[in-house]
Amino acid sequence: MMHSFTKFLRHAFLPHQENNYRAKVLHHDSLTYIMGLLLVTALIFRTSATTSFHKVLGASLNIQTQALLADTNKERAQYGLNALTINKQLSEAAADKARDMFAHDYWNHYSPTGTSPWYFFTKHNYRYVYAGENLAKDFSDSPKVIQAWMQSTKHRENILRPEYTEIGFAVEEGMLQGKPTVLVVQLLATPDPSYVSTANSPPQPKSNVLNAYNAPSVQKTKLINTAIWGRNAMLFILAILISALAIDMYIFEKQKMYRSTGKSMYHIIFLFVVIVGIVVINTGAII
Amino acid sequence: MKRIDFILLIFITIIEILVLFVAPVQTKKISLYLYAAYYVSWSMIVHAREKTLSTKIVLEYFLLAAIAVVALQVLLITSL
Repeated sequence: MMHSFTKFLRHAFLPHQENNYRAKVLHHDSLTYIMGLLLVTALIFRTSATTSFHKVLGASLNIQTQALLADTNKERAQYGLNALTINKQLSEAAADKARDMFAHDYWNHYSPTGTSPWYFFTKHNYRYVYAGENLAKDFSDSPKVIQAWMQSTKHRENILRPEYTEIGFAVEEGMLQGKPTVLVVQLLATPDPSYVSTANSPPQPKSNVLNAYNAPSVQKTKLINTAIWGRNAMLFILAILISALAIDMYIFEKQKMYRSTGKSMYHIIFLFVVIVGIVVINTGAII
Repeated sequence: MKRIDFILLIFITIIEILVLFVAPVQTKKISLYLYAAYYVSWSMIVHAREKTLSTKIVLEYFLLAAIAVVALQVLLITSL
């Protein structure tokens, strides 16, 4: 058993007489099989995305509001700023904003009917001195959302504004502009102290809108995270090819043999760049 | 491989990696496809000049480029 496995690895990765001095994994038929496998995978994901997007979204979604809060406060701490605390009304307002975007099908801070972001603050009985809103869509995990905001000057300024003391998040999924979308809404604010003192006296109406600490539907049940698994699978396949090419190049340079094949160095550099691309490409958008 | 070919390859690769780190998402995607096109076409030119171009070699470059493009497509589809 062990012997046959070793033989298989040798045949797959080491150039020798039996595989015509070219690692089997680099033969045309093997490369065609790999491409076929990837095409089938792409087809399955595409079909799933168009026929039952909720299932795919739910499985793909790895955005947790607690992680968003932790990452936001981590960024603020690096600049010596106070940590923000979750405000339930702000989280409700954020969820309301996200639902409004799906309902009126817009990707903007202002709705087509002219509703401003500040409307949702006041609608949820939140009076502020300073307020800000960051939006993101189509990200697969929490750190990437914060990272994208921090890379944008306007959003970074919003996150790092020293006056802010409270924050609210919402992560909602739905159809936006004909496409299955995950929206992340971040609302930041400084409450108006005079209003808060009066508003705190009567009991707050109980709401079943989700906030960061009691939001079971925000953190999805992760049967399998397709985004991360898909990316890792691609990286694994490309890493195997690079390894086979590197071994192949090393052995042939050592033996000084001639053979009619492509240039392994070109292949390795090309695949390395693709790996960098897969690692750094961020498909989400922010406004 | 001539020295100038290798220098050009490294130069364009460095530019591509810089683009991947600093450019907007759409530019990153387009630049990767352009880089794949450069990789295939420039390799063909180098092989033709060295008189080592054959159907087998052309197929090898196209298959690897296709694998990379499909891998990127899978990534884009799964990252909903």
